[in-house]
Amino acid sequence: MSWGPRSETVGFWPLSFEFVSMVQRASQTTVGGRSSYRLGSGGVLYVLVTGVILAAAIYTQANLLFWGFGLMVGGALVSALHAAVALSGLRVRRVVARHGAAGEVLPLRYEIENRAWWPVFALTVREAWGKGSRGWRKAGPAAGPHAPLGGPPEAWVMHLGRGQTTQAVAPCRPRRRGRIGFERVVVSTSFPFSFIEKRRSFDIADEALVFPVLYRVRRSLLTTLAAADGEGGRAAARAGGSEEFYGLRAYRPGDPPRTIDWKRTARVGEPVSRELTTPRPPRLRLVLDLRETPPIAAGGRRGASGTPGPSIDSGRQLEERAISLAASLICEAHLRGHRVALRVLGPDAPAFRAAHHPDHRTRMLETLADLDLTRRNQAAGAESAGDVVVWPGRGAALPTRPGFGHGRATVLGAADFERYVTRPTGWTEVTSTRKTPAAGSVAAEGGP
Amino acid sequence: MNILQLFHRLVYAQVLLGITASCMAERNPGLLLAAGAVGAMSWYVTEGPRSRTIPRWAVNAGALGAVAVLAFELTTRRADVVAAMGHFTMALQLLMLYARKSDREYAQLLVLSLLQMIGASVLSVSMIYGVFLAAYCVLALATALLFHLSASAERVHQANRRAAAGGPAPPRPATVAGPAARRHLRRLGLVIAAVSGGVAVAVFLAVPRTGKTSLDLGGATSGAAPQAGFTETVRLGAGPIGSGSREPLLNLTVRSRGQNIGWENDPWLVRGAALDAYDTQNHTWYRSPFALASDRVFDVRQFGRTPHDDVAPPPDPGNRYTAEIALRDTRQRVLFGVVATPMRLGSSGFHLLGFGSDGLGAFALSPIDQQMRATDPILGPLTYQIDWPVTRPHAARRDGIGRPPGIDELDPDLTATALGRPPAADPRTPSPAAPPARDHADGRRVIDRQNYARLWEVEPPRYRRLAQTVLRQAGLERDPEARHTPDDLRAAAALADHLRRRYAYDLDNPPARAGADPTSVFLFESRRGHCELFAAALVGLCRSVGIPARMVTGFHAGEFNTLGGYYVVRPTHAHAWAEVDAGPGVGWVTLDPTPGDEVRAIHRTPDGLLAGLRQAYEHVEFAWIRLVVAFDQRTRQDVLQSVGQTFRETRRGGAQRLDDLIAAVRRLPALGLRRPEALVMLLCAAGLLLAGFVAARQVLARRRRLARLRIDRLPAAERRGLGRRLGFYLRMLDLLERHGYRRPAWQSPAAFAAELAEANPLRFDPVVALTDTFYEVRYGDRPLDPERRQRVRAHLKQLEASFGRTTG
Repeated sequence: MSWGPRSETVGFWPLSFEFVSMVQRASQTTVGGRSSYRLGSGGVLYVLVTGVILAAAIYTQANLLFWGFGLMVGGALVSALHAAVALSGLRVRRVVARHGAAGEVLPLRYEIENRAWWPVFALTVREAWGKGSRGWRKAGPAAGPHAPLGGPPEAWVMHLGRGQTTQAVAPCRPRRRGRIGFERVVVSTSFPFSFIEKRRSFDIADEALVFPVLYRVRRSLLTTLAAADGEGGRAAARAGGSEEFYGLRAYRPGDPPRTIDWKRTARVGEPVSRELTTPRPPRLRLVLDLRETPPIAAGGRRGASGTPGPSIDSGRQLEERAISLAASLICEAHLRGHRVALRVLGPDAPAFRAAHHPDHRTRMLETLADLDLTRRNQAAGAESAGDVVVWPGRGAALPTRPGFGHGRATVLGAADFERYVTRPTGWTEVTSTRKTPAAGSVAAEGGP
Repeated sequence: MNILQLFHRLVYAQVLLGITASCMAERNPGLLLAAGAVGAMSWYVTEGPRSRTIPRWAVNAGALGAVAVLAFELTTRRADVVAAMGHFTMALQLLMLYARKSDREYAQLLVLSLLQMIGASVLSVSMIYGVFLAAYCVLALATALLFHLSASAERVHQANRRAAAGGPAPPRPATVAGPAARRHLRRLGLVIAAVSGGVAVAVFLAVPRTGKTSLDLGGATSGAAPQAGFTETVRLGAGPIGSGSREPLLNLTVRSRGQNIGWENDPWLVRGAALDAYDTQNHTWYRSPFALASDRVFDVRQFGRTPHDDVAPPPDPGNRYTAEIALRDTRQRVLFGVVATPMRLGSSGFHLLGFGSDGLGAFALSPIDQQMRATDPILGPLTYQIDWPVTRPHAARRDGIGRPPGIDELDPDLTATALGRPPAADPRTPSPAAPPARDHADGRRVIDRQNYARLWEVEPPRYRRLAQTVLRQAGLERDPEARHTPDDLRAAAALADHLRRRYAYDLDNPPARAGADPTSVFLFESRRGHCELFAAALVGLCRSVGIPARMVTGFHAGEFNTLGGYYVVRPTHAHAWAEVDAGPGVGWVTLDPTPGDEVRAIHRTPDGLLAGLRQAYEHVEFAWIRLVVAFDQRTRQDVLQSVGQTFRETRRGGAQRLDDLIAAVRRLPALGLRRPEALVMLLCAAGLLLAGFVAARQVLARRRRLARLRIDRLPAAERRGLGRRLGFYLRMLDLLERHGYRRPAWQSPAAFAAELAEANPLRFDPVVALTDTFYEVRYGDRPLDPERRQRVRAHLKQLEASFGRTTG
């Protein structure tokens, strides 16, 4: 079942980069769910204040404090009643994109319908993995420092009236490529006094594939790579097109009259037709060489004396950077109309012949997203002239350096990443703070 | 409406309201002015155009300063605990108002404000404070709801920020509440308020009271200005005692045989302290140590069960007065008695027969002067009941029943001789008869049993001459050495009458010259003065001729609240009079030498609209104090009994009605249909059933119609109007369905109309037009005005005609 638009604009490719295959999927609507109750975050404080009022009332016998104690007890009773009836008629459906890109927003929404007669306030919707409320720390895509997610995405709905349906958006920005499996959705509320928190857990399985980080490739790089592929190759050496003059041949029945070369026909005495060339888009043959993890020194910043500088990236980081560079090249080439071919050396991955189609591009990106760097095949590759090799070490765009190990191929080293992309590596948060006049709180802004 | 902004405003308002209420409870206008100004300025400073806040270290330093001030107040100035804690929490709140606030600080601010209101609730009895408290509760409820919303949104935002560490900050959850959210929030608030209020009433009634605490939480030493008026000592020459404030001090309800006998023109004297000793140096009347030592401590519950066993034998239960005295906010330990306003021959002195109170565990009573005192400080309001006999001094019984016995009628252990039964020994009770009398070093006589209320050391010959002159004019003689004579009451009455007739009542009398005794100046020179001088003069004259007499201070209760049926006693009603011991068989008699007409004129019930409004307000406030602030075990039992009785009666009545109905139904077959009333009854029942069926059918049809229009989940008000206006679209659908064109549930009206128009533009053009009108009304909020209605009718007619042409 599809949901929403058929295309999704992703990240900083706002104008033309469309993942046609990035279709959002809506999971199956779940009505049931397990309910649980716990003392809310403010419950302890509430009980404490109530106890203080009761103690003061007993100690001083001040009747107004007995009133106050009664009000607090009434509030607790209302909280309990609200917890009993809240979330009872809730239907939750997760709407998640099939694909996303690391570092970019993964569209993750929840369609929530309240079929109960009681409105719901301050509804929190959270993804959960593993057992218990803290299970995501041990299992799931948010467990561990190198997990794709930094934590379970959470959405918040302030109000959901009786019979109303709303969509809540959970900010989800995967940090790394790979697959993100969703297990269940937990909705909770502790309205009105944070006294009792009621939770309902809905088992809804889903999966999203996160592409590598996509960068904007420098315009000159692709132009250079296309030129290296051969300028003459831009037009096919066969007739049938409509671009430029290719040659003459004898007239065949069915040829349009406007293709008849009348002068030559008059000269020869039989009909002669003109043939025109067919344009052929440029081709980019990418080879991603991940056969070996490069040494750390390969990623060092080259200093004035040619020695590695202080910024040293690990081999695995360089490999990820190479994968991102390959994915970025694929996207950029697709945007420019290039036909792209891809071979991955090392990890098990299918090879793609040169083609230009959104599905073709998406399949290549899926392959790159799914690369398992722990299982590699050390078989030697066979690069040929015109191939563009992306490898984690240090390389050179042009000219091709013979004897580098990649034959006559053009080598793009991931260690020289900043030469190829406009956005610098080491993508970090850019945060600026300012004081809000109301609360003096800190609001964070920033991003690429 | 952004709930964050509204929440900030509500917190600010709640804190300021708490500070205001606390200052009001403490009766400290200066503190209110200062704290209110500082608090109000914080909004401009922190939320104004500059939006500045003080740094965290300054807040911490200020908090340390507040702790130091708290310690100083508690130790050095010995201020009360509650007021000091109130100042402390107030200082912390003011500091935090100027600080940068996150949710944690807001929670602290709200808790501090709540604690401050708890303290203020202990201090205050005023109804105005009750109004403030109610407003505070409403505000606190709204603030708590909004705080929960904003805090949960912030928590989610922070969780998402943590999850997005290393990336750009995620957007904050939208905290703008739409109309529906606001409406539901208001309704939920009302539900919470109703349920909480109901539970609060139940808790208030159900929780038993244990009486007042013995800990002095500051009721006697708070910053309230002392109320002038009644004092336990009277210093002559220091101005009249009846010059205090107009705030009600106590309410008095007098009953006889269960009936309220209070009346507008029937004043009573509220008896406070009996002062038997006079300090000639300081011109001060006070209660002698001999009388003080005679105080005996009684358990209130035991005294209430056997009200007179320890003091006097029981008179006829019908011949007693009962008074309920509601002290509003007393700051002293004296418990007041009540005596009738004396006539010419006076009225019987106060003689306690019964005492009851839930707010007191024990009280002290002296058999010598019948003065009552609380053994523990009275904190806040207190209600107690007293009984005393209906007797007249000249008609007193010789057996001593129902009158205060004179000092000579008491046994050495100070019990009434008529009773002849010693009271239970109390370790706290000193023995007044034991110590031998020994004069003071400065020559003053020590008061003992023999000379109690008899000493007069201010120009005794001069006083005696005047008294004997007055008595001779009245045809009486009195031997100053005689202990009692049968004419003592008439002699004292003649002296009082002389003062009333020959001396002028004046509140503005000039002070006595230095060294002169104010009583002598009044008696022999100025001949005008206030009630204390009249009472002191009568006591002096009586004592000079050997009649025991003492001064009594209290109030002249003459302002009657007709709404509540009680007397309102204010500090301005303070009064003084005298009691004389008329000898065995008569006992102590109340005599008021002050001219009665002038006293009544001063203490009369004010008239006019404002007075009426004030009376109404005071009545409401009294009800507030009696039913809420001073709610005690007795009131609780009364309310519970009343509720139980009402419930039982309702249950009995309901059961009876149900039984009657069942019996009537059982009798129906016997009645038969021949009887016209049975037929009418059956027809009515059938009509009711039919009407119910039709109504149910209509309701179901309406629900189906709304469901077809898919507006059944809209708010009720919006739903009703739309269901009526969009009826034409349902008629169009019905018409189409009758001819085989059914709109699938998944298809929108526009798509359905487009599909039909594409198939047959000529026939289904009205469908497109009607669908456009549907969208205008449903989503464009357009009314179905006469023009549209006419178009709709025309389109429906055209559509129907097109089908008719085809089928025909």
